[in-house]
Amino acid sequence: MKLRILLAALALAALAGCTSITKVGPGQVTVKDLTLNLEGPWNKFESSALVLFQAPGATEIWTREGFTLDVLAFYVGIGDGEAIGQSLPRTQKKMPVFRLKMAPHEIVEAFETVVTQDGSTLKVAKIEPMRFAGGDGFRFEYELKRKGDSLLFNGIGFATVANKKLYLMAYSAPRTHYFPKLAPGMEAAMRSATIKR
Amino acid sequence: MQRRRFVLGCGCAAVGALPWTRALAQTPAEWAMPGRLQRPAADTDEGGLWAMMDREEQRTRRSGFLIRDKALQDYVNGIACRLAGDHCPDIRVYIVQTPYFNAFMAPNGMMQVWSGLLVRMTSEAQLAAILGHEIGHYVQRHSLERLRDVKSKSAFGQFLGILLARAGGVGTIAQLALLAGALAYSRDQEREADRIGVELMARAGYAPMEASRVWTQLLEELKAGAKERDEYWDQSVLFKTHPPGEERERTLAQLAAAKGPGGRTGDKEYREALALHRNEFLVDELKRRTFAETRVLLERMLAAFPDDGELQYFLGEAFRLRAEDKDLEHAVAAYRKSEAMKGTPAEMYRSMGLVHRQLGDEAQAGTAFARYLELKPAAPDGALIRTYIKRND
Repeated sequence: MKLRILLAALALAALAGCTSITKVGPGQVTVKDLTLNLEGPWNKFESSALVLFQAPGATEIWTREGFTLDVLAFYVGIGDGEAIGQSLPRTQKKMPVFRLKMAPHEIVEAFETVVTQDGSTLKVAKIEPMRFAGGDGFRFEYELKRKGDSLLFNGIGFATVANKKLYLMAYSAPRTHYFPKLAPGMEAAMRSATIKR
Repeated sequence: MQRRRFVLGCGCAAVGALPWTRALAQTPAEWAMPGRLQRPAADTDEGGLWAMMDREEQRTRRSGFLIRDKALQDYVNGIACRLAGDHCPDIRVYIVQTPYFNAFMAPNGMMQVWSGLLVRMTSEAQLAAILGHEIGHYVQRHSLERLRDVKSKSAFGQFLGILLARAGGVGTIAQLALLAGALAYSRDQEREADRIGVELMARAGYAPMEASRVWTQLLEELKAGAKERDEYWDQSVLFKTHPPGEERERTLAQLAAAKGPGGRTGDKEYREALALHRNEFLVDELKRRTFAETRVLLERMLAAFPDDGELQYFLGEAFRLRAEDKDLEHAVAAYRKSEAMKGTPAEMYRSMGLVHRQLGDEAQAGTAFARYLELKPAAPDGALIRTYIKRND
């Protein structure tokens, strides 16, 4: 049902002219002060009116195949004490706040809270230290079961804290077909990230 | 949520004006279970309602959130059948992984019970109270009763009736959405379902007083969580259309008292039936982030099983995740208690380490992380945990 509502909302918003999808890449693209070097083009979702269930309150949302399928979400430049993400309309849930003292485990818990507000479930399969955007960071893998249609997604995220701010990117796509097909390109995009520290 | 609310409404809304008023006039002792319901003709309003619910049932059957555990399913089916008597073959219970307190019955015999309800029940008799209530809605055909009531009172209702008469198995999402707001059970229907529920419990040999306890427990949670309640509770049909909780608690206790003492509670059987899923359900419960309610739930469970290390761990998690005022200190206290108990998961030490880290006690954090790795040497987050310890060195 949620998926249908989402599709309907997207269609309506597009008709109303308050949503636009623009092409980003290939080449160098910046999201706030995070720079990526893209091998191919992505679609960037821009809307002042909508919050996507897959990535509520993300700084930017990109996709390759369509927003109901694969989503690359950026939560970047979040300072100490600032909320990570945004409450879904009507829920008014208190969103988790980023703290400089947070461990990667706690950052992933916060991310999970944000992206499962619609009742989807997320299970972290792996979390490991990893260089990201030129500094110490971490990488995590997860499985997401979307509430609206029970579709199973795989996801990969990278995050780091730079200049006392959180930079997190997470990509998810349906486990069958889309994730195996798109994940390598997406991971390459994430690994190309740099931040001026 | 729309669809859930809709089905809840249908499960809880109904009509059949005659049988309903007759049942209201009867005392519980006189109440006789109506005969098995026959599938209504497809071109009637009731047939349309069933067709839509059939589609909803198909979706439920395919849902990735359906809990497919034969042992648990058989156990719940067994309770439903003991209560439903001759209606047993017509009632199909689906256990759905959703961490909210809810159960509902569709007019076609489909019943959903959510995991957030199961984890809150403390006995088989309490679950029987819920199932009995829902069966009450079904046998009294409350959904149809409600539909006809709405139809007779408004042009919109007449429109709904036309829509359903034409549904013939092809109910659309738009039709479902239309029905969502229209077919919530009335408070009188809820009261009647409560009375029938207690009656069915008593006939099946359950302790009827457990029905009232369901509400005592729920009210404790609701009162504790009033400030941080999320949208579900505020919007839930359960709380909009059901009689106030205090009234239900009181009335159910009176009905049970009239049945006399005795009856089986089935605490042990219930605990065993849910044992495999309790951890998962409590993990989901924490993710609701309604910590005051979760705390009441866990403290109630701990009162019954004070030496359960896993419950103590979850209590610590509730404090850790809220992290307000003295929560982190309370979390450490709960973790410390759980250390000496059976059933404490290795993850408790990881959480303890994270809390010590937040509190600035790096030495204690290091000790806890090391213990976690000792207990779980192949942990998928082992490499990262080692960086936490290294940082402390």
